[in-house]
Amino acid sequence: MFGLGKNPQEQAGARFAQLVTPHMDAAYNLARWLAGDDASAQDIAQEAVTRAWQYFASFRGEEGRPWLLGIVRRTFYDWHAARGLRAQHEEALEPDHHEHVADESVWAESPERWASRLADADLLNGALELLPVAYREVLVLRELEDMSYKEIARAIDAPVGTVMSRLARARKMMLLSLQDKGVQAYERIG
Amino acid sequence: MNESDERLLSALIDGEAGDGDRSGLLGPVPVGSAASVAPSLLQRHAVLRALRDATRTRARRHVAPRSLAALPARLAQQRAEPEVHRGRTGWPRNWQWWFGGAMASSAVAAVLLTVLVLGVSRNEADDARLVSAHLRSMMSTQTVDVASADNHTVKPWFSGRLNYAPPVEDFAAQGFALLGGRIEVFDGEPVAALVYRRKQHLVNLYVMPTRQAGRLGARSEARHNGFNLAARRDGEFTFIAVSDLNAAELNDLLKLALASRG
Repeated sequence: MFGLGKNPQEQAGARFAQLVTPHMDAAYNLARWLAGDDASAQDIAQEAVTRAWQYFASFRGEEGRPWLLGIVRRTFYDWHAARGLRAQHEEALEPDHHEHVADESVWAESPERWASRLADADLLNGALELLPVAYREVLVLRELEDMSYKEIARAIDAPVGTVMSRLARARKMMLLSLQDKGVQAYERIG
Repeated sequence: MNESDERLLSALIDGEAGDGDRSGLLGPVPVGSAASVAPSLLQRHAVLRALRDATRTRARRHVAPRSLAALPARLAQQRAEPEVHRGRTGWPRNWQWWFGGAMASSAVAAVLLTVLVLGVSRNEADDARLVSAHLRSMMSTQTVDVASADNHTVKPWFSGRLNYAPPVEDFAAQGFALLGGRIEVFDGEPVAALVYRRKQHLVNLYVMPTRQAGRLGARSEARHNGFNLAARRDGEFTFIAVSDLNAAELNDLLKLALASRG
């Protein structure tokens, strides 16, 4: 700018444009799935991107997406806490007390029966919306953002083993919910 | 099927199970023998895979609204800076930019002077956070969460959400009309944000206990990206006002807020 050469700030700006700016859709998608409505998702995503801009100097990695989505998630939890939902918030962060669902009926049904249920987009989206937030977030990151376990672990700030467990449970809960058994088995958290 | 089998099956679907895990699930697998995979396992695998495919194709992918897609460019323009570390002198590293700007316009030169006089090197990151909270509330579809000029409505609203009771007053008679309140989170601590309107300008007044304010309240006046910040405190509360109003008007509001506490 002004022909005076690139200063460190401009370099940081260019790096931000390269590593973070391409992921606005991913940021919004996660915020929208976590918050559940457009207006809140916009507020959360905007705040998260603004935070990312401010914290960018401390970011040393090369993968902008898990880093940004981690901030989106954090911002969502802050937003959640600010609305006086602290108790639920803590539960959402410590979800692993949910017991293993021993219900084996999901596995017993025929592939045809599952195919017809899974073809219903509204049913599927509804089931995903009803998942407790800790399970919803890993499934969204995995299936909609196609992130690896390692990337998800970075975004949710948890070990890979936790990602693996939560995904497995998330899927079982989805199946139970699609079978119309999930509502009783799991209370909605987020 | 126990939980660890379900974990492995799920990881297998994702291509994230190691070879060791796999043999744990399937038992010892003789080389070249597909027959050792139990039919029930195959069926579970098929159900999970169908779920994965359905989720990937049918779950909604929400696309960023235009305002969000444009936000990075807007931030870059406003230079709400990716925090650049500065030397101890407080001279901004991006002085070339400031210098160029000052050459380009005397208005910018005035800003430059203000910035230097007020001392950029004090906690500028804190200013940035306060200003971005203000900006965000301006851009938000909802500037306040409780919309009322009545302190008997706003005050109780806060009491369920904070561990302190912030003083709340409407100063409409003095030109600052209370629009309502909101919670902001700084450093993980919820803080009361009161929103006032003066003419066409909005002011965010952050109110927090002085012992909690720490560095946030340390600067009495500052300017950041064209916004003014002003802070005052007494033994109990710290008030920080942020707006595009001028500093003198912000100080008027702070005086009113402090005086109202009698």
